[in-house]
Amino acid sequence: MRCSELKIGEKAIIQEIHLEEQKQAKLFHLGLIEKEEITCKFKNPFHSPIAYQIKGCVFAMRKEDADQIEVEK
Amino acid sequence: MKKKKACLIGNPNVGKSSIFNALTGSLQHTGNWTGKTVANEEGVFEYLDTEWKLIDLPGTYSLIGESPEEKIASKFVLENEYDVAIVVADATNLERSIEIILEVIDVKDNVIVCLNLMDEAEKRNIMIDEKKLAKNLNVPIILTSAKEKRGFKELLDTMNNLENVLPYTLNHTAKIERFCEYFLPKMESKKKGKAIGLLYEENKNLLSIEDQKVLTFYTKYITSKEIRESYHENAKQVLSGVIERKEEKEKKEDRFWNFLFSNRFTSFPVMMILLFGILWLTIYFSNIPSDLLFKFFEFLEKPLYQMLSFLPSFLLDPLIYGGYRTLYWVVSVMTPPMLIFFPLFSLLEDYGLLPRIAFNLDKPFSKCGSCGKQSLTMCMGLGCNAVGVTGTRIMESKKMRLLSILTNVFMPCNGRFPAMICIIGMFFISDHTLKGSLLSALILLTIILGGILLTFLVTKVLNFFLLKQEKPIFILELPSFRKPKILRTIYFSLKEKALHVLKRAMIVSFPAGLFIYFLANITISNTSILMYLKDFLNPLGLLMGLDGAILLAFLLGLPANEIVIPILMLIYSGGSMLVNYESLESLKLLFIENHWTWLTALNFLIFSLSHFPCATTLLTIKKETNSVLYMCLAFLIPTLIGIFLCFLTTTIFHLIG
Repeated sequence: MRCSELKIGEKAIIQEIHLEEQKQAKLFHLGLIEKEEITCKFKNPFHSPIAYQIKGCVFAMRKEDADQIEVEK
Repeated sequence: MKKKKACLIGNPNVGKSSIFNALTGSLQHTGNWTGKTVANEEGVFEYLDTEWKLIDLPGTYSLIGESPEEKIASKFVLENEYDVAIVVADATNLERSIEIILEVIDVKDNVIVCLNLMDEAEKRNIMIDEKKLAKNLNVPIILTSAKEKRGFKELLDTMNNLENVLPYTLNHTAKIERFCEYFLPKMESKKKGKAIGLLYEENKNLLSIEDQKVLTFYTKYITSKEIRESYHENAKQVLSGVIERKEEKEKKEDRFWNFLFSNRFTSFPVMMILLFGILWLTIYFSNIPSDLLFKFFEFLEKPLYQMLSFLPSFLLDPLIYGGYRTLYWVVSVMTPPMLIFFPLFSLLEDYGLLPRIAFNLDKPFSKCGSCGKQSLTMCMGLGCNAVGVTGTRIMESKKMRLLSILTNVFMPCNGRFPAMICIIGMFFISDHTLKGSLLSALILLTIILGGILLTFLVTKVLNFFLLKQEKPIFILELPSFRKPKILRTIYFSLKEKALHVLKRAMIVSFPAGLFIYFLANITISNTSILMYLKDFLNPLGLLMGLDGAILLAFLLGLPANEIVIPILMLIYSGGSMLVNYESLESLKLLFIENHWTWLTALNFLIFSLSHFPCATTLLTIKKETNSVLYMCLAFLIPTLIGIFLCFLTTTIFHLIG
C-alpha cells in the first residue's frame, strides 16, 4: 500500500521509494530508508502534508510525495 | 596563551546554538525550529591557558548534499584548518545524528561528540549506552544539557586536553575503498573522507589533469546514494546495542496540540486565537505605560530647554521641538508594545508552535506556488520585515524564496504596529477599557488577515510571471514541544530583538526630527520647503482619500516606519511644534482640524499595511537577492497596491455618498 494511505496511528515498514535521487537524499537524512518502520502521526484539515514519525523524528511531507512511497503493514 | 580553533557541527535544532552561546557567552537567538543558523557564526573565548575561536556551522544532516547549509558545512569541514571538531548529537534521535558524526570522523581526527538533550531522551524512555558508543567510535563523548548548563566544563577540559585521538576507521564498500586507495596518497592524507569529499565537493584544482580524468570517471561510477548507504552501514555497526527504545509515551501536551492542529474544526480558530491573544495583550498592557512615558518626557522638556538655554535659539528650537519631541514620541509609543509583543512571540516560537502553523498552511501556499515555510518568514516579518527577508533562506527553492521576499512587507512589522494602534485608538475605538482593547485587537487582527490575504494574492500573481522551476520536495520537521525557559526567553527577546529595534528607531528619529524641522522652517518666498512638497503630493493624496501631508510623512518615514506619525504632527503644526500633545485626544483634535475623518483613518491603515518597506528592509532585499530590480519591485508592488486600494475605498465611499 501507499504510505499516504496509512491512517493516524498506523505503523508500517517501508518497502520501496519511487522518488528522484535528490528527493530521496533528503528523505534519507530523516531516516526514511527501506526496511525502516514508519508511523503516521497526524494530518491537517487539507490532508496534505501528513506528519510521520521514523524513530525519534517527526516530520511532514506532502501527500504527492507520500504517494510514491510503498509500505507494508 | 595558546590559540586554537574549533568548529561546531550538527543537525539542525539539536541545541548547537545553545552550546555556542554557553561557551562564548554570545547571544545568538535559539529557537525551536529547524534552520536557525544559516551562515557561520564566530565567537572567541578563553579557557585556562587557551584562547579558542569557535565557529558555529549551519545545522545540516550530512556533508554530502546540494543544499546551501550542506555546502557551507562541508566546505568548512573539508578545506579549513582547525584543531577540534565538536559534533553535537541529538540524544532523542541518535540514529539520525550518527550519520554526520561518522562523516566528520571520516575526515578529521580530534573529534568530540556532545550528546545533547539527554534529559529529554530519558523522559521519552530512550536509553543510550554512551560508554559503549564512545568505545565503538573511539572519541570522547560528553553529555550536555544546554537547559541545565550541564557538561560544559567537561567539554572545555576535553577540548583543552584533546590530542591525537584516532577515531574509529570506517569500512566502505569495495568500490569506494578502491577509490580512496587511489586518491589518498595523492592528497597526502590518511582520512578516507577527504578523498570521498572529492566526489561531492568542487575542489578539484589540486589534482593533476590525469587525476581529474580519473575522478570524473569515479564521479559517474560511485553515486551519492551509494556513499550515503555506505555511511549508513557503518552507522548500523557503530550503533548496534547502543540505543534502547521502550515504547514511547506520547507527551500529553504533544497529543493535545496535535489534536487541536489536525482537527478540521479547531486548527484555524486556534491559530487565530493565538494571534489575537498576542495582539490583545500587546494593546491592553501598553496603554498605561505609554501614557506615563509621554508625561515623563513632556515633563522633562522644560527643564531641558532651560538647561540648554545658553544655545542660540536657531539651534535650541530644532533640537528640542524637532529632535527631542520626535524622539520621545517614538520612544513612548513604541517601547511598551515592543516589550510585550517580542517576548510573547518568542515564547510561542521556543515552545515549538511555529512549525505547526507552517504544517497547516502548506496546502494553500502550495496552490500559490510557494510552500508552508513562507508562513514562518511571515511570522518573522511581523517582528521586523528585514528579519523576515533574511529568514527566507529557509525556503527550498530560489523561486519560493523570491516570492516570500517580495511579499514579506504585507506583514505589518513592529515599527508599524504602534502607529496603527494609535490611529485605531483615535478614530475607531476610543475607550481604554477591556472591551475597547478587545475591539482594537480585533481590528488589528483584521488588518493582519488582510495582509495575509494580500500575501496569498500577490504570491499567486507573481508565481504566474516567474519562470517555472522544478518543485523541490517539501519536508518540514515538527519538533516536539519543549517548555521554554520563560525568564530566559523573555530576557533574550528583549535584549536582542526589542532593544535592537528600539535603538534603531531612536537613532533614526532624532536626526529625522531635526531634518524635518529644518524642512519646515527654511522658507522660499514665505513658504517652507515642507509645504511645497506637501502641496505637490496633495492631489495624489486627495485621490487616495488621504492628503499630501500623510504621503509626505510616509515618504520621509522611509528610514523607519516608526516616525511617520511624529512627522505628520510636525507637518500639521507647521513645523513649529507649538502644540503640546498631552494625550491621544489632543492629537486627534489636531488631525480633525486637518480634515481627518474615519475614512482618512481607514485609508491610513490600508496604506500603512501596503506601502514600500523601510530602507533597512530594502537594503536587506538588495543584499539577499543581489539585484536592484527585485529591490525596486519590492518597493513598487506594495506601493501601487496600496494606492489602488485607497483609491478604491475612497471612490466607493464617494459613490455611496
